[in-house]
Amino acid sequence: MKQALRKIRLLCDLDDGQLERIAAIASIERVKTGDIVVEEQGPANSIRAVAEGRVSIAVSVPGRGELPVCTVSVGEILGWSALLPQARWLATARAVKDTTLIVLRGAALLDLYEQDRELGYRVMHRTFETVAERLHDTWLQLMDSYRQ
Amino acid sequence: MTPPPAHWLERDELGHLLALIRGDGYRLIGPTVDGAAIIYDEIEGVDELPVGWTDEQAPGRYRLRRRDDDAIFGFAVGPHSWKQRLFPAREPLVQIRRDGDDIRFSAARADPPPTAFIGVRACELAAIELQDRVFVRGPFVDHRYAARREACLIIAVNCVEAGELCFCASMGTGPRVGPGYDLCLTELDGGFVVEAETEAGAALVQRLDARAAADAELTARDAGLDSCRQTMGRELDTEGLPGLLFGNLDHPRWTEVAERCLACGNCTQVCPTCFCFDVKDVSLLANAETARERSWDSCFGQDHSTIHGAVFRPAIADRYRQWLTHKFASWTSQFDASGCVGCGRCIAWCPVGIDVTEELSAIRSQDPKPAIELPRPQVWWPREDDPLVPAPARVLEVQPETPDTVTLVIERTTAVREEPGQFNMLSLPAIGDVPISVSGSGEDFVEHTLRGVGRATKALSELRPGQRLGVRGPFGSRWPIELAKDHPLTLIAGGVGLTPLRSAMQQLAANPDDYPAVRLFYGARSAADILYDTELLAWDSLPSCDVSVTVDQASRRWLGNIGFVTRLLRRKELPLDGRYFICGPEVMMRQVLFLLDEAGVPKSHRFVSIERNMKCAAGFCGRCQYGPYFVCKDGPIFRHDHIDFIFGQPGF
Amino acid sequence: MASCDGCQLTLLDCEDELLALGEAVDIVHFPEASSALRPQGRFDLTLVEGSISTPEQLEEIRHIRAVSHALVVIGACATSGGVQALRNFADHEQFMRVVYATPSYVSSLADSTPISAHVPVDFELRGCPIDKAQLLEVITASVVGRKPGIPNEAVCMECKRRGVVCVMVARGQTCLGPVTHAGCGALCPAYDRGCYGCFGPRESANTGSLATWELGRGRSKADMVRAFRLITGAAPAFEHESKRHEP
Repeated sequence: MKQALRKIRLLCDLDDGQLERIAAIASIERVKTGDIVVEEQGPANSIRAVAEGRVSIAVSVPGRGELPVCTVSVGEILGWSALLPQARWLATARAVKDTTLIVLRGAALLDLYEQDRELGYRVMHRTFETVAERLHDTWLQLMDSYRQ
Repeated sequence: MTPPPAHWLERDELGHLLALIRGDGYRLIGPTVDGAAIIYDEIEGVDELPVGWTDEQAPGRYRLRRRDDDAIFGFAVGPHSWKQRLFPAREPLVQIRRDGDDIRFSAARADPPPTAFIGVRACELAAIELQDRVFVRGPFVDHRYAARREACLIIAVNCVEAGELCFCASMGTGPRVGPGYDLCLTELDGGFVVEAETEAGAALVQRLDARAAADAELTARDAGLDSCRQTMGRELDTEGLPGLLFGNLDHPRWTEVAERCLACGNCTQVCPTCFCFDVKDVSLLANAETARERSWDSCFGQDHSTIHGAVFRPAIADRYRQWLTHKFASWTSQFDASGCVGCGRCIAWCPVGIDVTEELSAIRSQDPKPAIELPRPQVWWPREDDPLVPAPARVLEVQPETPDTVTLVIERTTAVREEPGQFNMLSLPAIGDVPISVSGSGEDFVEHTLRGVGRATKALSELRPGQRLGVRGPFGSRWPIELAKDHPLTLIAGGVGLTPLRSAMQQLAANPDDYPAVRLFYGARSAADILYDTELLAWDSLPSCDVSVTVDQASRRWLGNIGFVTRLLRRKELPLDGRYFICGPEVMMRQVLFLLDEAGVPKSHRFVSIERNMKCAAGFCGRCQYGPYFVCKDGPIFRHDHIDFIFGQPGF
Repeated sequence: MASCDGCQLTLLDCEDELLALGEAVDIVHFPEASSALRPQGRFDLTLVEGSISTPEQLEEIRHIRAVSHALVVIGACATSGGVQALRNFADHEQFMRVVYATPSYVSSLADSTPISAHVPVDFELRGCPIDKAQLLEVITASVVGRKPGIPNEAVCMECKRRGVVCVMVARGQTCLGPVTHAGCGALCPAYDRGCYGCFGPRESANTGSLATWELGRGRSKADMVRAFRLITGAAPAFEHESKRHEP
């Protein structure tokens, strides 16, 4: 498990001991192409990292079905809503390849942050980096810059 | 070298000189009073010269005035220049005839009559020499200009009085007439000192009743020139001007002058060196005959910098900065000389009296930032063909790529094989021509992938096999594939930006020994917009190549990556010794370059493709200027560190 | 719409070209040339002259837009409201009372406005009147599928290409050329008169700087109001400038 955790950018600043503590609350999830990973509206309880494969994130649009807005690939995370209080999934995540995910329960992770503030700071710092990058890339995607 | 012998010509003999020149079959163009100014027009003799006239000039003001004497050349330069004669304001370039599917393009010939320019001043001769650099000493020769230049006889005049707006002494172009004249006159009391530089000039002197000039006359000539030099109405410090201007692209003076500038273009039109032009197809309805014409254009107009709806210099401040940085800085990079000869026309004929010398000294004196170093001028190997005349070529095949994009396979008409990254100008009668990058080529064909977004590209995309179009080229720089040998190579493409990279990719994929590690990252709008899908898969299956594709918009059926192309790069190694070829919308390239900055990849390892408004593609029309560069001949492929001082800068 | 019909006459002026035009396009409705009734159906290209000045015109232009593939509006009235837009600067009710015996018979909008204020237009051809060559260019461009070769540049460019000596600089006249859309071929300056701005403001019209210069050399504010408030006085750039100099 620690080997797998090392490949996740979110956790790249952690030392061995810290990674072990994360490993203790982590589990593996295997899904097949087309399987739903999390479903819009459901309670957001776990943050996930892609160890292998690819997951698409889609929003349901009445009359048009699921509209994918981005994909998450190896080393990246999805489901940061799980770190927010009483959160629900705002989108559906679905495997677009046979995928292996590492699942970190949100509540357990938050507990870890409380116990080890330094671990918490390091992981949250990377979480912020990921969110910022994702937001920035989304702006660029919204510009529809290849149209002209 | 000994100076050519000088002669003395009595004042009354000038008429004889003009008559001799006319007798030799030249028409005479010279200064003459027309209403409110001294202009250049066809004249027959001395009577039509502005005898006893002078002018008073100030910023935005020009008035004729009677002199106390009957000096013939006792005035400063007026609103006209010789540019009108050598590079006319309007001129046909190509005649196009359509006959069914057949198209014929023929060069419009100038066939200029022998013409004598009477009264060319030092600054004006310098200006002619500068335009020679544009039209005959670049990679191509403008044959129409060259023919007119050949046909002219230059009778120059040394200035012994300076105008209020003159600063030729600062620009090093006068007041003494420099080389390039046939005859040079210096008007003194009672007559002229005459110097001949060419055989034609010397032959004229021999036929005149002119004796050798006396020492006193030569002394008077030099005294006149000296006094002129010392009484110049304007002065300009030219020391390090190019670097100073490009180091101060955000100087507050640009905004300040833009409040006064009308962006009317008068300065550029009276400037004897400004050479920008526009090209239009002129035809009546569906007539079989089309004339492709050029007309003077100005960087102060919106159309000058517009491509498919995007205006690269929207604000007046952008346009004023373009004109001033071009004239006093970019010229040096482009043609190895300042573009200003110090004639002062732009000051007099600015309707609101903007004075370039004042603007430049304001930038120099008001808290300037340090100068930067500008690129050196390029050395060109001249090409003989007329770059403005297309060759008719047959469409061999039309491959639909996406709903709005096709690849035209066109028979090769040029002896030169296109290189990856270069472009051709594709043209249709009555519609015009557009630059399209080469997406592939073979022994006897060339491929162009184009999207029917504009009117010209739409018409091109509707061509059918067997139909003809016009092709001229190839033009421009190429992807430096050889520099990537033995280095990991990363190609990053966005949208139709893949087309110029495709021909590079074809060569790279075919040579895995030289290019063992090639990656292509490609962002498309949607799955339906992905170009060359079968080729992408084929490349990806090669051990030497790795292809990743992402789309901005997708349906549930799409199982690939979704997200902007930067998302693909964030997950990948960006090796420092790698080489990077980037082509796509400028916003996308900018973001990609940020990521390469973060990764620490040296700018000299990155190459980008720039697009600007292009008309002639041969370095004549000035429209595709990008700072000190012409995209058509210095680009479209640039090394990042060569353009980083303007890349992403608004207004360029 | 509301106009003097002069721009339509420009089309009739195209004597030689009219034959070629007749071969290339099928002219189905042309009030100045034929009294044939307006046909029903859809049109590839509709040229509209005149401003929107009455409620009926407003209805009609919406209909025309709906049935036209390309809508090209021609002339100063259609592109800026025309000389009749001078009423936009005054009390419309008062004008009606002064001019008409029975104002209640007159149905008129308070403002005279360009077509583009009401419906999207594909091209605005400027001028009072329009230039014949430019009109042919717009029609030709539409037929062959090219961008009309009508640059949005200053009248100054036409002066300089013709070699006309600048009347502002050499004669000290007020001239709207630097801020006016080209197209007339620099007609007035070629006859030693300043430009009246018949083609309306060009893009980037720096009217403020021009007015400052004129005031600086002795013109009055009233002169500025008169200069900018003429044929195309309701065009936003000119309207803005003339209002700045109102007492």
